Amino acid sequence: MNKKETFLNGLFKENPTFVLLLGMCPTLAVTTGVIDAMGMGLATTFVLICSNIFISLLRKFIPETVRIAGYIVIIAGFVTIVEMLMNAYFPALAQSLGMYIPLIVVNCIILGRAEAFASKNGFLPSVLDGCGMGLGFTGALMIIATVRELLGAGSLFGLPILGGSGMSIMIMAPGAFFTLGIILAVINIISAKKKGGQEDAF
Amino acid sequence: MSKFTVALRLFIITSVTAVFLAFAYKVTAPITEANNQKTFQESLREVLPLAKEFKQIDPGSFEDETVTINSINVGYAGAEATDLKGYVVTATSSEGYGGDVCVMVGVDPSYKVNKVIISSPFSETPGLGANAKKPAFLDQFIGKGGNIEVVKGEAKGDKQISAISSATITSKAVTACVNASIEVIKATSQKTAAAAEEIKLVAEEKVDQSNAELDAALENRKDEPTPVIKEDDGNE
Repeated sequence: MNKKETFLNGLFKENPTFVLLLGMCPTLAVTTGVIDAMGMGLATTFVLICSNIFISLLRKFIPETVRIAGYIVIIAGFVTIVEMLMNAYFPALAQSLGMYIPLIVVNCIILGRAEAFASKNGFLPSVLDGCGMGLGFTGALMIIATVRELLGAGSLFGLPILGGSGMSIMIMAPGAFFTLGIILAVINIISAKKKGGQEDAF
Repeated sequence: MSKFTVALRLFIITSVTAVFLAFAYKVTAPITEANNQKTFQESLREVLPLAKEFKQIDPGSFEDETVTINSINVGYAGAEATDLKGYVVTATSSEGYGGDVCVMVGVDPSYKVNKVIISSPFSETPGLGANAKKPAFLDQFIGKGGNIEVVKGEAKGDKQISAISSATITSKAVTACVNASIEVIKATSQKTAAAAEEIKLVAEEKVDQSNAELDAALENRKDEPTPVIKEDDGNE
């Protein structure tokens, strides 16, 4: 796998949300508005890149048998330090991301990439994988959030469009499942059709 | 790798992480605390712009099923404690949709709401309960004087505000905080007024007492046989 493929892998072929179905909790919870989705996605991307760097650098040091415990300690410690620094030096940013930061610790995409990629690869590929996966996650969240915010609140990026009101069920939990289900169905139809023609698609 | 090495390495990982955490905490904690203080002071000025100086007073014990009073600050226009501009109360309701709802209420000396803002913690649903942060909802409280009721649809009179659509629980939690804040201010200022009254009464009593003592003394003096000065008019 070359560098470009490593990066694009997370965006499309192994998109964490739509293909791997990882990190469903934030996918359902933080997609009520596009701005929130983008904040969560970018915060996750940042943590993912950094945790991939740490894990890939320490991959020879962390013993095989206790690797999961090692990953969790490193990721949780790292996220907590990021949170403390943000509270101290960027209080406005910390306020708007609020509770997402601690939630990132338990995001299974981070642990998943540490286990599946960073622990087996060097520094640069791990960075690229973190970028690709993080942006793939951000994009997926923003797609779902666009649908939900548009239909549920009648706005986009917090600006009122479509008269500024909508079906509140789309903002609430059922709307998240509807949107995710329909998007997954569409993706599956497309990839099934492409598989009929050529092997290597989406 | 022997079991000992495995344990040792895991121990090193956790220890190093702990050292980093402790260091980061030591560096950031005072800054974070200062930030929080600054934000709090700024919020105080936002809800009560006329006041320049704030003095925190004891919130006392406030009895309510759902609302807790966290702090009361009395706002003055200057350093002199005479020019009262109002009160700022922070109150938390446990009856939000997503947990606690924390509100800061500025109340003027005539017990009317000056301004309400949402502070943290506040984790209501974005797009629904979180609309409580918008001026469209919060500005309804301005000028109201307690016992406010939440209604669905159009609000009438100065005792009603209209709920955020599909977020009545959040609306009620915020309103409960505002009502409780006004109540606690009334109670507190009555208490201080009562205390002042008491001091006055005691003082008056003392005055009365000393007057009575004086009277008694005078009375005693009267009772005493007045030394009769016999005028010796030798010219009789």
